[in-house]
Amino acid sequence: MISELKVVAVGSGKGGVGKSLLCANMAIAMALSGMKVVLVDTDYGASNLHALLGISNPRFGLKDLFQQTELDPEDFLLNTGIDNLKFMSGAGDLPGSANLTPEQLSRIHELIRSLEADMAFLDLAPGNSYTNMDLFNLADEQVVVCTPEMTAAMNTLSFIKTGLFRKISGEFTDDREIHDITDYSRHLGSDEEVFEINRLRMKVLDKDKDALARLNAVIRNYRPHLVLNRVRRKKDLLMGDNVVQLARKYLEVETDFCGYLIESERIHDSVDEMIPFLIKDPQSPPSKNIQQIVGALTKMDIHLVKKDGAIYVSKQVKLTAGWES
Amino acid sequence: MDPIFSAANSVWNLFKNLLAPETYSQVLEGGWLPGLGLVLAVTLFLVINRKKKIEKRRQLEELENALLDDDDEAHALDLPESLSPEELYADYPDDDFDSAEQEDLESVPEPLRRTLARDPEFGGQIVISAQSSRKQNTNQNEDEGTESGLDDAEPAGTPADIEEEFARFAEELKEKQREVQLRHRLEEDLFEESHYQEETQGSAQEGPISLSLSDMIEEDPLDWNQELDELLENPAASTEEEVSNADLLAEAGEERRRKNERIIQRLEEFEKDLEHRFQAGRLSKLAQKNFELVESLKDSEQAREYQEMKRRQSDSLAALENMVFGPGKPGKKKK
Repeated sequence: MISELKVVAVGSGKGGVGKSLLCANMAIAMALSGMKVVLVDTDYGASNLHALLGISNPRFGLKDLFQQTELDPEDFLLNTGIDNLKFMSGAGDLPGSANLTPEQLSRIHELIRSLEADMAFLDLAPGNSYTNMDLFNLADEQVVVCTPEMTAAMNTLSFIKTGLFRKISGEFTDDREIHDITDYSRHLGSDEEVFEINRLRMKVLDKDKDALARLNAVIRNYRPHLVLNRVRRKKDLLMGDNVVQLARKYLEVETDFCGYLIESERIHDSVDEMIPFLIKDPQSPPSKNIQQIVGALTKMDIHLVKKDGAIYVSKQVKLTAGWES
Repeated sequence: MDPIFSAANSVWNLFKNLLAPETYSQVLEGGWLPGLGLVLAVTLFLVINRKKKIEKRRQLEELENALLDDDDEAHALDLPESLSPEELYADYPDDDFDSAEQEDLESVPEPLRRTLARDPEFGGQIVISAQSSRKQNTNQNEDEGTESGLDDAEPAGTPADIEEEFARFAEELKEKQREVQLRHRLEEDLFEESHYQEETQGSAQEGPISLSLSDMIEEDPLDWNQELDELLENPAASTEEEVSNADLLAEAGEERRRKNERIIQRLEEFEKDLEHRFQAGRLSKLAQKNFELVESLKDSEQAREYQEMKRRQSDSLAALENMVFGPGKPGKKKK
């Protein structure tokens, strides 16, 4: 069953762009469509995803994940009240809990990969920390959330760039020399030019031709999805296009702009009421946005209708359904 | 290898060798004798050929002259050079050929005699009739009751009679020819006239000129010409016809006027219809233009909006690019 698991990581370069909201509602949409889904809160140190699901005090938190090693991964999963959807909390705002050790990170990875589910949605912490980037790159599908503001776009590009170079670095762990080139923690204050794709290529080519082919393969396969949140006007969508263009131009990364979420009072209300807006009103515009995003990600058409307090789901699977490998 | 090709190739090689500078001396030393022989042979062949042609041309000229010349023709036909009257009528049963007849025969002019001898249609017949009458005359002495057709009614023709008869016959022919020509001319005139009438009046059946072509041909052209001459000489004599022509012209004028009025009326109607259609078309076009204008305004508004959006995007893209990847970015090396 482990091989069936598809991991989707939702991250962003900037905080407060709506990662948790998007992640929770995407997981709900997939769960409603009949898939067995686990929502994992990996925003360690600032965990609040449980609040969006209406869970005030999760039974297990981050501390339990590391301390109760004798428990099975399934024991950490909490019911959400939504069919097919389980929740793994990272709650516990202890100081320094955001700085996980490699061992702790490895434990998290192990837990996620051992989940018996069809899909796992990871709600990442904002920023470009290695912990975050490693979780981001752990996923089969990466979703970057951005808002139309310039600052958010800047951080998004930085996030994509960091994620790419972290991925490259992870691919060359066996080649110390190249691994060091792509690890900018070893280059601070020295050669920043290396972090341009073509310069990196030249460096790699100087050392190993085969390594260049591997590098190109990593770049080619690195295809994060982009979701623009808090869209108020049509022109706001242009920011998403800008990010796509710049990522293509400077990083040679083909970013898939897979959808947007409009700014809506319903969303604010749903957060305040601790009820996901997709459950509260599956036919509202933001809910439809979520359905479109999920449809673009999974190559499925999902339509949710609420009638007499019950939610009905229609799902149309395209011939090329399934996650792209 | 193809024999033609090999022959051509050998010729080509020969020419090539001739043109090659290293073979000049060889050719000059050893090839002058065969070359001279070749030139002589060609000259001899040309001379012989020329001689043959001259001979052939001479023979042809002789033959042509023989055919053209009567005497030569007589020779060619193996006719006696000078046929005396005795020899000419030697086979005839009667021997009452006198010298007067010979004188008459001799008095026939040379061109006529040739014509008589040659032309089977005219002279030949006459000669035969003269001969047959001569024969009949001789036969009459033997057998009075024998009939011999038309020639019996006519007296035996002397050369003078023959000449006279021929001249008359020629005159008749000319007369007939003139008649035919006149008829043809009349036909053409009448045909043109009838055409003109059809065009102007729409009918060729009215008036004196509306006689059918066959009627006119049936009429005697001499009478017709006579009438025309009389008319020209004395115009007053045919006042009745003039009046009728005038009436016809007046009628034609009236008819034409009515026709013109009808045409004008139709033209006016057509003009009105056309104007109406034109206005309708113009209105339709104006409506279409108006619609397009509104659409284009809408489009242009959208286009403006789009352009504005693109400009904003371009600005924000440039700003973002400069901030994230630009040279002024903190930590970036200044070049």
